[in-house]
Amino acid sequence: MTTVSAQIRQTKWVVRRFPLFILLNLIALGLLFLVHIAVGSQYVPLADVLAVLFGQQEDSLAYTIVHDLRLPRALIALAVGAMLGLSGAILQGVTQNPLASPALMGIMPGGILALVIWLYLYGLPPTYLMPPIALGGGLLSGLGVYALSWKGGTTPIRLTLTGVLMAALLNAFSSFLLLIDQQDTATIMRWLIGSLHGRGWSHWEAILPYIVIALPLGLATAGVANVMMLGDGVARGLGMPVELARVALIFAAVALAATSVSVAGNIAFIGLMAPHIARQIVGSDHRRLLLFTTVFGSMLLLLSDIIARALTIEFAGESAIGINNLPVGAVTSMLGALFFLFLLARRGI
Amino acid sequence: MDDTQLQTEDLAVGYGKHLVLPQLDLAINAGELVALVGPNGSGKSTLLKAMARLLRPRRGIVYLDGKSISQYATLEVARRLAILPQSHTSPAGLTVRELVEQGRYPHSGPLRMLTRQDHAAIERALSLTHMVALADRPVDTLSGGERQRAWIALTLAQDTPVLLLDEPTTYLDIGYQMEIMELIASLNSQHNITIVVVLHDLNQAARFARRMVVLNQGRIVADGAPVDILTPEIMARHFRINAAIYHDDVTNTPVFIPYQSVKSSDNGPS
Ligand SMILES: Nc1ncnc2c1ncn2[C@@H]1O[C@H](COP(=O)(O)OP(=O)(O)OP(=O)(O)O)[C@@H](O)[C@H]1O
Ligand SMILES: [Mg+2]
Repeated sequence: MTTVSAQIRQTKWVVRRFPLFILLNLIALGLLFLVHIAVGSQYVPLADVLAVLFGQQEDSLAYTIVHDLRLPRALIALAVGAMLGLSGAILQGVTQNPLASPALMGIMPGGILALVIWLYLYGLPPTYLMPPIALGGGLLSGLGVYALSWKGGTTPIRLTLTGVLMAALLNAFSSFLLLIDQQDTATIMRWLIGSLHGRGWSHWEAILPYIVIALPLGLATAGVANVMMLGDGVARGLGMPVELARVALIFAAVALAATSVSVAGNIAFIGLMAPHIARQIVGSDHRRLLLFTTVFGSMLLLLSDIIARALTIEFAGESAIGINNLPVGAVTSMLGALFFLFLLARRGI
Repeated sequence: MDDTQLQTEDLAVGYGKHLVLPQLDLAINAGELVALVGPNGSGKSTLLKAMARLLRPRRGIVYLDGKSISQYATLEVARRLAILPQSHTSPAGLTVRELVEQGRYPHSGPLRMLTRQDHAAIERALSLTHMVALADRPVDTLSGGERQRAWIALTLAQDTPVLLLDEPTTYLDIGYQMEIMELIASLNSQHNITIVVVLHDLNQAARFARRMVVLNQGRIVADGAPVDILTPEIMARHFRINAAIYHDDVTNTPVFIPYQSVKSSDNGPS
């Protein structure tokens, strides 16, 4: 069959020349990053973007736009995309379910709910407190999912089902608080839909320590994730403490996704699409899968945010402010829906 | 003088309320090749899993190299003993080589990269199982027999002095069955690896193993050389067949030919 052998050959090229493949993707990622900065209510030519990034033109208008406004947003899109993609890849491995994701498993909803409750009780937290609050919420919901799945041990299928249940419950609760707390509707909505609007250097600085810790931690789970993929019995035979490994993997996934929620909200589908597509391209070996998903998640979110801005300019005009901006979460949801239609069509279900 | 490498003492194992192995004592000596045989559901897989600390015993102890297996770090057990389970699921999109590489986990640990020694063990496992040509194929695109050989290669890559193999020849055509049995015999004789292998083909068991252990309803009902096991009485009582036993001069081992199944009311030839 041609499709099978084509797939095998494709996998082989990417496997054999994996460093080259990653390099090419990093170049593409760099280009997307530059385009993301260039596009906005006022277009900045790529040459000017580069000039500013390399430290020239310190007192021009381009400098103000690029450095003060767009660079932090682009960096946050880059990092959040990476964290969501990586988190999703780890979760899909640990649940052995290619449709698992940090949004569907209650991790992101847990982070959101913690922020919403804090907002309701004490008002808007200072920026630097948002990541730890969201992380706390994500950890609590992750712990809840794990504990509720426990029956003398957990299984991938019980984790998945409990996660979906937890996500539904937490989202419903956040929506309920939205009803009660009418003043902060705009803020809560932005968290619930997922948006990068108005993200600045303070947000970047708040999230940076978590990125620096969680990304390497997540990537380092590749060896364990590979063994866990073979099933509990085989993993145990290879000397893997499977429950401990599951807790560690879930913790890494939570640390990645929950903190990203604090600066970008509940951006849907990146954590589901990125690993899913990446697996088709580089195969299931987590040493490649995790690395590529991280890069690919960044690319997906940058692209989505470019689309969100372009649509905003097209339909709301150049002076669009605040609530008039199309949130990037709406774009990722749209892309996610298209992606599922494509999957359904291709598999002929 | 033999020395005991793997031993169960007063072992009881079960699932839920159901005690599969009520009380079992078995000692495997270093360098032995033991065939574990018995009818379906007699507890062979359960015994193998308990000996590999995959099941926690209700009572009793499993000793590995003179020390209770529960006293070892679990990675240390995996460096001394490898188990090929009877059933396994091959993850989608993983190639044969990537699958076999996982056998090095007990040696490399969760964070380290594979060393030259690891790669040598992987290549050796692939070539012993004749999987080199298929090494870059995704496991889930292989035939049942090819897949089984990939899993055997994973077990061999673990490079342990003790091997527990649960029906390694299932799914294999007769040619590969023979090859795998010869591989098992040579691992045992050339590399001095202690092997316990579950087999359903009693003639193969008699041909390759010097010791056969018969399990029925969770108890060891016979234990000895093939000539002591392949008898009309044992065939009838424990395997429900009337069989004729011959001696094969070529392999110098007993062989049997099954004639008919024993009706449950019938107690076999007297
Ligand atoms: N996970 C389990 N839960 C409950 N009962 C089980 C489980 N696994 C096995 N059993 C039961 O334990 C008994 C022994 O099973 P085991 O798998 O050890 O048999 P076996 O000798 O390997 O059989 P086969 O030749 O069919 O592989 C059977 O009655 C079986 O139904
Ligand atoms: Mg069995």
